[in-house]
Amino acid sequence: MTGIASDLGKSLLPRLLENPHVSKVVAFDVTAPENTDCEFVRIDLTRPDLEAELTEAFLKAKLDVLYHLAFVNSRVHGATFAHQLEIIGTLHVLAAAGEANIRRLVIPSLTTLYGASSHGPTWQTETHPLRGCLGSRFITDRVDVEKHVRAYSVRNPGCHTVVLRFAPIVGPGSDNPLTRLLRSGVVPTVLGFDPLWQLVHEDDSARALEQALTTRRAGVFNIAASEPIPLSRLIKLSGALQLPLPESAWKFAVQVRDSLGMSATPVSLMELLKFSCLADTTRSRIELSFSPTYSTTEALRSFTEGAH
Amino acid sequence: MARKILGNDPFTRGSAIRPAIPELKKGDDVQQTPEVQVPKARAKKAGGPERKTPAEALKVMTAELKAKGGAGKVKATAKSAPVFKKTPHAAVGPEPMAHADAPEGRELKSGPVAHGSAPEALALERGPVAHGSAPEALELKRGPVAHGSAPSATELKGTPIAHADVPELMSATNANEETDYSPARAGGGILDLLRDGLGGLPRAISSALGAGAGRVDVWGRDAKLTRGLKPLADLMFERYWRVSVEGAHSVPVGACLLAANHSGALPIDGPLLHLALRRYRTELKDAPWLLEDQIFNAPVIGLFANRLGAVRANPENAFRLLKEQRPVIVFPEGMAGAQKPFSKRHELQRFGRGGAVKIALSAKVPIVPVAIVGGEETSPLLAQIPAGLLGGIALPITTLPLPARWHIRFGEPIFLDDAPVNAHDDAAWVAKTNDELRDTIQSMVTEIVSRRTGVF
Repeated sequence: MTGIASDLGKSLLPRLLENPHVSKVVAFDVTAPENTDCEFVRIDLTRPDLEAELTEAFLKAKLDVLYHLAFVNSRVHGATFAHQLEIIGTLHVLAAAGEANIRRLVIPSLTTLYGASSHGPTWQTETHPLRGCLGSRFITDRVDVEKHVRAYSVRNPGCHTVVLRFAPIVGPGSDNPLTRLLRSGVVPTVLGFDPLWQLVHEDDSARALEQALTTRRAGVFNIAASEPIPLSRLIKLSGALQLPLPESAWKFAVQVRDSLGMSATPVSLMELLKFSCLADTTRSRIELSFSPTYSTTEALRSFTEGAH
Repeated sequence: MARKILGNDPFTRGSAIRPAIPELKKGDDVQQTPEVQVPKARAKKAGGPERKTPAEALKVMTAELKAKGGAGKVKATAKSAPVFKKTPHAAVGPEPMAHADAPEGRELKSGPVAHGSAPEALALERGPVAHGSAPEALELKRGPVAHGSAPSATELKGTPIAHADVPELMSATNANEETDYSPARAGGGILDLLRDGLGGLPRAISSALGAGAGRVDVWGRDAKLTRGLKPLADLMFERYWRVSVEGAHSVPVGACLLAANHSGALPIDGPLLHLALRRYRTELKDAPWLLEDQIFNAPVIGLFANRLGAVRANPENAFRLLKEQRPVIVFPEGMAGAQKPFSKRHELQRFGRGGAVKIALSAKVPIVPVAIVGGEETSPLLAQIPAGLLGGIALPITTLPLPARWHIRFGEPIFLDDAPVNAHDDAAWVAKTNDELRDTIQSMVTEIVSRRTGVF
């Protein structure tokens, strides 16, 4: 498993250690995990000359399954670092996984990559193109990652590649742009728009990742809670204050906060506050027989109760 | 200038009861001659309808306007219904100004007494739907429906929306059943109705501004909002626009595509058609209408339309909605239909690429042609602000919604069962069917226009 320090890694690790199918877990990361039940290999995915070392480490650990979870979920590291880690890091991991003949590869992704827009189907299935979000490096990088993963799965048909596209994850332990925004207390929204949002609870996301260990199906799956709710309701239930601003004022406010260095939603993500970006979960329900235990509202409730 | 825009169709037309002329061409709805005696008129016109050039028509219109003291007066009488109620004929004088009587909704329901001259036409318009068949059909069908919806909902399990949607579907059906369409309702004073109607507005406004924070279904429709707005919707439907609905019984139960013409510059034809189905076919699931993507770009309007039941227009959404066994309202003309100038009213625009036909073919559902008349007089398109100027959407310049009378007519469903194999890819077949559909709706529109007794 790479990226064991990420939210997904942290919530998945105890589940894997308890899973009867798992004999051992090897963590590839820059910092040692707090949990000492797993082996630890210090690997810095942002290093340029990593590939040979990584292949060797994979072979030495005799891996069957690789969880590649080393993705950034905040902007604090800076765009260059994120790009280095997500794209270059993924390329290294994919190359090494190919060399080491990994039998199964699991990679998390985002439903946000479908892009929010006023056009196109309201519900996006896995076959829809990833429109991403123009101008947002974070999203564009992840679209790029998916592209590389797809190329990898074509090149390595022997490897069982599972991509899980998660709706925004919330829960008591989650720390990502959305939860930070909600915890900040005031959420500026765009006046006259109120898109539908889906969420997924952190337990459900970890469960889906665990299920990917044994599933016979390969491919891409949307993972999201049922019952979308309007953004305004989402904000209200989270206990934050909604601040609807006209579009231009919203942009201005965000730019000001941005240039002051305060953490804020990037201007390019405004589309997500204007239009729905909903994922159809039929495929994960039928082929993966995975259905989230938390609905969007319940996930949100769990998040607010955990926060207090 | 104003006259040029208004074209050759004076709003004052309708003092005469004109018989239906079957083979009326587009734009020929200008029958200015005031005819009071229906049989005579029919005999006269059957021989060869006398048609006027626009210039002539304009002259007549001006003359008529002068005679009546201006269109403003007509409008005023139409609006001030309560005063008018007491003295139905006082304002109109001895001349049987059919359209002037019309605003009185109640009288019309209980029988078209106001029009000695036009009982036929009116009976046709109101007869089948007003009291007789609708409640009956309702009671007949309500029994099986209560149970019927459950199996169909469970059947859906395999489909995308299954789990999320089943409760929502049920509640939607319940909401439908709440719709109380009893003539007794119309008995309240107009002020009471107004007070009731305005009750739902605060929620509607906060919802449209994006601060509604209510519960919605998987398509974004807010059932509570719709319920709150129901009194207002009823008021507009019954009293202001006096929508007459014909042939609602021909809409089949289950999935079907309702193809309607766009009527008017403001997107109110969709909601009115939706409302008409809710009122006259309570056993059907709520019919969402597919709305041009562009409208969702506009703040407030797009959001509000979505909360009321509009869904972005694209084949995927249509298929998904049809899978939910709903009637789905489409406007095959697209934006071209809503953006046509007033002078081209009642003329259907091109039916795009035949999307509606292809969808019905692939989903194996019938198409119900629907003609809507009234929107163009309610909100005549006078000019348009180009899309480039204001945030990507062309804004129509129109009047405030005028109290024109609306007519909605459902045609017989068209089944595409006898389509050739691979008809979907057969561009010629799609184009032909598409044109036939368009012609059907066009002739229905023309027929209503020729038959109606007045704009207001």
